[in-house]
Amino acid sequence: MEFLGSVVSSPTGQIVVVEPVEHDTSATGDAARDTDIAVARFDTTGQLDQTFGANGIVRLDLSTGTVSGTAFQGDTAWGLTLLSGDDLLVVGGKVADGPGRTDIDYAVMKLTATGAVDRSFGTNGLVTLDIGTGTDSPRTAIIQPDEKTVVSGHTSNAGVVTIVLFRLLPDGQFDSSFGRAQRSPRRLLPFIAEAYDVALQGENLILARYGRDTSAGTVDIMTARFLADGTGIGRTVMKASLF
Amino acid sequence: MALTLKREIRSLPLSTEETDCFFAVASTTSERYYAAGFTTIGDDTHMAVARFGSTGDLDTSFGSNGIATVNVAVGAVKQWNS
Repeated sequence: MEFLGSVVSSPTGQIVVVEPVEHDTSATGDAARDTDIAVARFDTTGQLDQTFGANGIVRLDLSTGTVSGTAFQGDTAWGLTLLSGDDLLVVGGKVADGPGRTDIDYAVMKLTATGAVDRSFGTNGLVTLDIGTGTDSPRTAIIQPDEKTVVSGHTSNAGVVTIVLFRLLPDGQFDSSFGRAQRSPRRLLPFIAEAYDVALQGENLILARYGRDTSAGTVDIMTARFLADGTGIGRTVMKASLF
Repeated sequence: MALTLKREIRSLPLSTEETDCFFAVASTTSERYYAAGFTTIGDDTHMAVARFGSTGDLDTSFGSNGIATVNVAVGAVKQWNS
């Protein structure tokens, strides 16, 4: 199973992609549903780049998957950000640590240009963010001119979906000057507000997203703007019945 | 430089009978761009990356006729986490 999340192209022409893949295709039962994260790099001719990871592929096994209701939660990946020197940030998720936990937490990993985990970033190369017991949905990350990283996504708990932004320092530590407790989960609508991407507008942060202000029904395209410190917002709602 | 697309929208069947999807796109400084997603072969999804030129044509110098695929985990599991 390959379900690609993101692709980036480096200035030197390499193409890098990230995706969740099966943890063990020989497993049976629920264990067969467990997933890891795979990062693959191709050279300019479309061949796997043998100088990256193992034969062009890096596998990341961050957690053991678990059943959650009728679903199965395992490692997942959505975003990939190219850094200077062809280093990479992978934006994904892992099963939360702790007894009985079946929800997904944010997981941001840094890889070097050779595909090795950069253990100087965060804690042994990994930053996790656990927002309550709701399932978190990591999406993308951008690098500010000051080399801080802003990560976007949303979190779901008891039927309410809330957008999430958090900012990291270049070494993978949370930026205490950003938002509330280094992150900025904001309930912009009473029920659903999902964020899928973030971009810089000067020093401010623009989110692309959709949502609805009722418990059921159609959703609308929305954008939101956060100030550079993660506080203060404005929003637009496009009631264009596209969905 | 003004670009002329041959068609505004074009489909690209990677496999003839099963599901193909692109989920991401990236551009390059050389006016090429990449679309990435998956193609399904024998009920197993494979990662797929296609390279296009500035006119929207597949760049056949990339991968196999413009498309590179890889199956990291061989297995017929058609579910994923979001």
